Amino acid sequence: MAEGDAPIIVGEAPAATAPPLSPPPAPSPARAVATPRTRFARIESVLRQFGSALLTLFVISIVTFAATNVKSPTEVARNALGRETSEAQLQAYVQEHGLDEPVYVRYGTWLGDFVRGDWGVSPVTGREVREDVVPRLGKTLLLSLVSLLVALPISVLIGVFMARRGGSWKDLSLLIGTVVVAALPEFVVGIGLLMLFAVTLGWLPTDSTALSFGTSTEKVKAYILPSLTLILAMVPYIVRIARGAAREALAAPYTQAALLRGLARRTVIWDHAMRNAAVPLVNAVAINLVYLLSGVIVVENVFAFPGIGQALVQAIAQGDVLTVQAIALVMGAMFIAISLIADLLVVYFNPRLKAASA
Amino acid sequence: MSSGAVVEPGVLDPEPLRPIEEEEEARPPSAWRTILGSLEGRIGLVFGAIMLGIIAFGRFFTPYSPTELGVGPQATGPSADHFLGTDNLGRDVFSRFLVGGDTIVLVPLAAVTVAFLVGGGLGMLGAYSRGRTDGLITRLFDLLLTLPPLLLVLVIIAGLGTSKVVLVLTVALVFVPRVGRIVRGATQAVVTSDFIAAAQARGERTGSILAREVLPNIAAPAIADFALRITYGVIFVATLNFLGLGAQPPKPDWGLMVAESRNFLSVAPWATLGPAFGIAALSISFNMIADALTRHLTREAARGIVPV
Repeated sequence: MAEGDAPIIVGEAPAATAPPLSPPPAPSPARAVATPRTRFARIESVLRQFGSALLTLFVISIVTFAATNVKSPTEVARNALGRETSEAQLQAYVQEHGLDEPVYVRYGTWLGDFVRGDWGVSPVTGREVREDVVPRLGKTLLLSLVSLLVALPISVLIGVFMARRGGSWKDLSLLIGTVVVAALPEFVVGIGLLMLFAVTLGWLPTDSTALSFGTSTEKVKAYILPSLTLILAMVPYIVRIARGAAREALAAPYTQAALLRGLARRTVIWDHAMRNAAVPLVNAVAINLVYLLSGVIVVENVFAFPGIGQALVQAIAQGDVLTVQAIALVMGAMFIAISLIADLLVVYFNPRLKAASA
Repeated sequence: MSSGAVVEPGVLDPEPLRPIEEEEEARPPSAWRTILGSLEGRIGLVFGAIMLGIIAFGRFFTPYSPTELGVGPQATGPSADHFLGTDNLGRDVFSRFLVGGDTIVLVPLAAVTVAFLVGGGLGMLGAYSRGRTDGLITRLFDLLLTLPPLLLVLVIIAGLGTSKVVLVLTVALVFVPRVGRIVRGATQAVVTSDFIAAAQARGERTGSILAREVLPNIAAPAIADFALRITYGVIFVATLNFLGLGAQPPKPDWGLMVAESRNFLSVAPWATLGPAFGIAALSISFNMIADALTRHLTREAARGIVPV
């Protein structure tokens, strides 16, 4: 879902319709000569990615803290203690919890505690927030990664298939197919799959609660529908990106030349064209990844999947601010870590940077 | 002219008058004609109009009160009395379906409009003024773009609670940098034109140059992006309603209905499937219209390639 933006009909619109301009052709010998400036290009680029990932996390922490601290100290105290509280008791609560300190001091304390692993005790459940969140994180991570690793190759295959037949009815009908599927919110897709595989056919469980107590077969089954939903939500976006990247690469002069030299089509497509298309492709996917992965929040809520996305929505409904803060940071970190890995893959794939470090 | 020069016939002739149609062709056709010109756009338009018609006028034809409990038995499938069955509280699903589509049209419309006013305005201003202003605006957009959209909206709702105003503003906040980037890019292509320089030479104010010279020239990509954002907005708002963070019970709302009836899927399937189909039909038709517009703008050069 949702989430949004993501544009064009594929993730971010610009990425989808206009993938970065044509990929660089294979490195020329002249470029391979390492000058001091290019020698560290790779390291520099990796460091820059790490820097921007940290900055993003920092911004997420500020937004989270700001959004969840809009209420005045007395309001917070009154919420915690109930309506029938005297002014003195409110003041005592405010002092005890340091709510009268300036905002930046409170932010510092909160972030410091969080980083040290002290996430607080939820006033709603009475348990350590950490103990509730950490076991859920692994399940959400597994669900996201499995879905991504299945969706990516499938989408690239479909995208290349479409690019090879650019403009044909097969290409156009698949293209309209991506428009239709991309327009479906995750929860509608999930409900559709639920109706088909769980209610009508009865092959799979109607929810994923078995993850908490079921046998291992039941646990595996509990993952199938949620990941299928997430895959269906990601595929149309990645297909669009892959199709664009493949079209660029197939139209490039070096591809045409290789074809005209009589090389096998399969070799040309996968060894020449797609190797170069990998850079803009992974790049565009990395940019959209955070958006695509947000779908996990919705999917977990459709299937009662015991992950952090479900816990987040529950915590919001119950007004459990500490849990919301913890999950927002953990989930932000998870999304950012996954995109960082994708970004690093771009560096790895980029022939220009590769040549420079050789 | 020297006597030896070969003068190609026709070079000295006055340029033939070109028919007016050709002039028209040089100009991008209107959004309306673009949509009507593709099959995808026509399908989207027809279904979109049907869905909007149901959402706008369906409320006048409800057979039962959409919020009254127990107008029928609890959680049943379709019957003669209850066209789409009843939900777990015995409410008539068909009546609720007819009434429940308004938030997912109105909230996105308001949110995207706000996003275009703010993000579009900033984007145009940045591309037009360049320099430090542009750097600042671009950096702001980049910063906002790194925030995971759904997470951002959920965290804000966690802090501020939910209401239509909060919903509109947070969804707009998600769209601002995305709209801004598109508008800024489109404006950059226009600001170097001579007619902008002419307007500057006439001494027009920045505001009026942006509104009268730039805006009409970036209308095409802006309209395509607007259509696209509406689609995302519908998906986004429907999702928030489904998560119980948008519309609140007992309001009949499609997203909320799906969530409320999800556990009764096997006994009263249409209480869930009906509103799910409503959301799907609406956002698919909007997306088709947006796609027809976008694809026309970025018209891919498909010809002249050795088929691979």
